[in-house]
Formats: sequence, structure tokens, C-alpha cells
Amino acid sequence: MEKTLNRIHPVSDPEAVYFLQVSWEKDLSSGFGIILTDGEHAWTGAVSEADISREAADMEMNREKYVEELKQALLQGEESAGKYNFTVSVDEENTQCHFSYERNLRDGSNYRKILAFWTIDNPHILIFLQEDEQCLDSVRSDEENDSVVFRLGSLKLQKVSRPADVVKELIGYCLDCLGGLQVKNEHLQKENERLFCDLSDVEKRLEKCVEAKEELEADLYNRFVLVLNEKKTKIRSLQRLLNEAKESAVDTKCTRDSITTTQMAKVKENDYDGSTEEESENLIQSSLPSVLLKD
Amino acid sequence: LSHVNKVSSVFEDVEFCVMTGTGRYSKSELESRIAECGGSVVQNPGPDTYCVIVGAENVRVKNIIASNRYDVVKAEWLLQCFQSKMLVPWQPAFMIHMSPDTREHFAREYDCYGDSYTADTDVAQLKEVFSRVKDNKKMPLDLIAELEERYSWNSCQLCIFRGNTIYVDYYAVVNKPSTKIHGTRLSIRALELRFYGAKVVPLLEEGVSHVVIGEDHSRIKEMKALRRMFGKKFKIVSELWVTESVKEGISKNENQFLI
Repeated sequence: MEKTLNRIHPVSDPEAVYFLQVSWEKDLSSGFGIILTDGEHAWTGAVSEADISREAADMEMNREKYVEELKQALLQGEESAGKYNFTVSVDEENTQCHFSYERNLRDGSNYRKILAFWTIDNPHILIFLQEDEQCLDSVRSDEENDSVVFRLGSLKLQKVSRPADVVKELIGYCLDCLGGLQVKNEHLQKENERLFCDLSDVEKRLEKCVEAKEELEADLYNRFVLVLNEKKTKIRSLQRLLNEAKESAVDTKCTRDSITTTQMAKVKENDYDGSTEEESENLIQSSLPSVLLKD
Repeated sequence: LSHVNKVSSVFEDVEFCVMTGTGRYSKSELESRIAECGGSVVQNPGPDTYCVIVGAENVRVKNIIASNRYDVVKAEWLLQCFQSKMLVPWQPAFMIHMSPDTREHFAREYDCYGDSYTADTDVAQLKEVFSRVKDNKKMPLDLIAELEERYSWNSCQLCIFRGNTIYVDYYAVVNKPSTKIHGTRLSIRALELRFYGAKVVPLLEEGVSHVVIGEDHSRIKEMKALRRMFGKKFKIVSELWVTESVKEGISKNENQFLI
């Protein structure tokens, strides 16, 4: 069983305050009970599932949309104030109370548009409504306020013999709600604190991971560069040796060219396919270029 | 040591001086195993000593090192020789100290960190080499960015934001790091940016490439005013730029996320 308790102000007397309790099982569409009180008197009534279907059918309105509209009107309370009108008329002996709820379509100029909205499932309804007086019954024009209202439903409420019990029950309900909300609030606050602590803890840890990653990366790159540069230094020194060897080879060639070309050819040949005796000679020549130059 | 059974002749005619043992093998155990392999052992290194074997360093070892006359080798080398039953070539990792001759020989083969000039390395060896680099200088991010560019590593998933200098809008007052707002999603974004290679800075000044903004847009006007005075303009992007880029593993085009 679920309940809501709201304050409503009837259109006939906006100063007056009534308390409206709506109770239902599972969902509003399967019927609901109503308790209305002004603090002094109380009235009660019920809307059955069949009533809801009938009301929706009378208005040629999609049932789900109608239930949605009921929820807005009866459960939302202050949030939808002004959008819905309530009328409460009590007979002289206080035995019966006529209660109705309507949607206020304030601006008359929106009349057609809003009707079209209601009948969005069936575009023909708009024309139908304009032609058929009976259907327009639930749509009544309020000439005085230049507004249009849409009657959602009305019911007769029976007087409750002991209104004090009803008021007690309502106050009890309110206190229970309040207590429940306080507990929930505390719980949520604690939960929030815990989540915040967890977040900052995780953030700190993440920061450490990021720092460690940055350090590791910087350190590895540093080591990498040092080792890489060692290799480059070696390559440079080998290049230098190679250039020196090339220079000396050129020098050697020049010197030898001036001596005799035939001998040179012989040496060249030996570079690739030399006999053992000649090779040793070659080795001496290439490894001791300075000596040859001095000759 | 006369009672030893000769198992191999790996160390035939090689003279060792074992200074200390390791946690698992005592000095005398090492000595007897040398003898089993045909080697001889002396208690003090002399002119014929091949090398000094050291398990744990102590004062005597330090003195030997200081004399700079002997090669001081880790006991692990010896163990590897026993295991493989051959004379394992010395590698820098084994050397605690090298005599000048050996040092010269190694200098031809290895760089000063012990990485070979000619032999390929592998992960384990490189780790070992890196562990010998004592220079703990940290490389600044822009140098890393340059290096990655040169070797085309910048397509790596961890370098999404490399080269970017980013100011994150989580200070209640622009350019006042003391007014940092804690517990916002932006601080996680900042960490993500850093993790993926960005340089996150606490001051919005010339050189910043991006400003990352969360839900709070109240400081944008001020930042745009600052931007007008900068020669190099930064981009103001929503934090979505970060999350989307991380999600896809590439730096997304900022234009979709401009504010």
C-alpha cells in the first residue's frame, strides 16, 4: 500500500486548505482511495480500476495517458499547482462532498492545439470533439477567466464519522515519513562521506601510480639515452678510424702510383685473392702506412 | 685439498684466490670445487693468480680492489663455469673490479655500462645494463617527447597527449594553485592526462597548449581575456576531449570539443 498526502486549494476558495490523501496498491491505474479533510471534517471515497477505464474511454483518451495525467493531478502536489483545479463542494449536512479535479488549460488560444495533444493517438478526435457536444462535456470553457479546463474526473465522497481518527492517522503518517526520511538522510550523508573518502583515497593512489609511471619513464629514457649515446660515441670513433684508414689508403695509393703501376695492379689483385706470401706483405703495407710514406 | 676427486679439467693450471663465499656456498666449498675442476687455490693473490673470486664484499676485498692489480670476479661466474663445465667468458655483469689490462680489453667490447658493442642484447641483459647506470637524472618531458618523435614511438597508446602542455580548470581562482577544488572529476582527468604523457601545469601562462574545462564554465571569460594577451593561443576544450581520446587511444581533434 502506497500513499501520498498533499495540500490542495479549491478553486472556489483559494484561501481554504484541504488535505488530500491518495492511497493505492502497486499502481494508480488499478484504482485508488481518497481521503479529503479540512482538519475538522473528513470524507472518503474510492476510484476503481473500471472507473478509470470508463473515464478514459469517455474522453476518448489513451488510458495510460489518462493515468499519467491523474498522477500529475493527485500525487504531485505543490509542484503542479496551478496546472490543476480542484473543486470541493460540501452539502449542508456535511454528509456528502463532491470532489472533482480538472486540468487547467489556461490559454484559450491553445484550445485546438491542446486538444490535438490529447488525441495524438487518433488525429480524427479533434474534429470529432468539435462536432460532438457530448464529448465536449468534459471540456468546458470558463468565460470569466478566459481559460479552458479539462475535467479529469469527479466523485462523491462520503463523510467519515470520526474525523479525528483520520486526522490522527494522517499526522501519524507524516511523522513516520519524517522519521523515515531523517534516517534515510543520515544514511545517505554517511554514504556520501564514505564515497568521498574512497574517491580521495583512490585519487591519491592513482596520483602515486601516475607519478611512479612518470618517474619510471623518465628514468628508463635517461638510461636508454646514456647507453645509446655510448653506442654513438663508438660509431663516431669507428668512423674516424675508417676515415683515417681511407686517407692513408689514398696516400699510399698515390705514393705507390708514382713508383710503378704494374706493382699496384698486383697488390690490388692480391687484395681479393692473394697468395699467403703476398698477403703478409700487404698486411704490413696497410698497417704501417706511415712507414711507407717516409720511404 | 689432496683428497679431491677430479671431475673435469676446465681450470687446468688456473690459479684462483677465493676471498669470500656466497650465501649458498661457503669459501671452502668454492675452493674444493675449483680443485675438482683441476684449478689451484691460493690464499693471497700473487703474480700468477688468474683472478680473485668474491661472494660477499668485505674490507679485504676493498683492499684488493684498491690495489688495482687483480680482476675481481663475482662467485656467480664460477658457479656458471661449474654448471656448464666450461670456461664461461667474462661479461661486465660478473666483474666487480677489473685490472687495467682487462679494463682495456672490455672497453673494446663493451661500453662503460657493460652493453656489448657487437652482441645483441635482450630484456634481461638490458635490465642488468640499466641497473649499472648510476646517473639518476630524470629526463624532462619535452626531451622524452622529442625522443619518441625521433624513433616514431609517439603512436604508443601511453603517449596520447605527449607534447601537450595543459592547464586544468580546477582552481577556484585562475592561476591560484592554492585554491584547488578537491574531489572533482577534473582532478582525475588531470591524472589521466599525465598518465597519457601530457605535461600538466598549475599556471595558465604562455606556452600552454590546452585548457581543460569541466561543468563549471564560470572562469572561461577570464581565461579568454588572458588568451588575448598571449602570442601562442591555447585551446579551451571540454573534459570530454580527454575521455574520448583515452577511450579511442588517440588524440582526438580538439575542434569537436571546443568551448
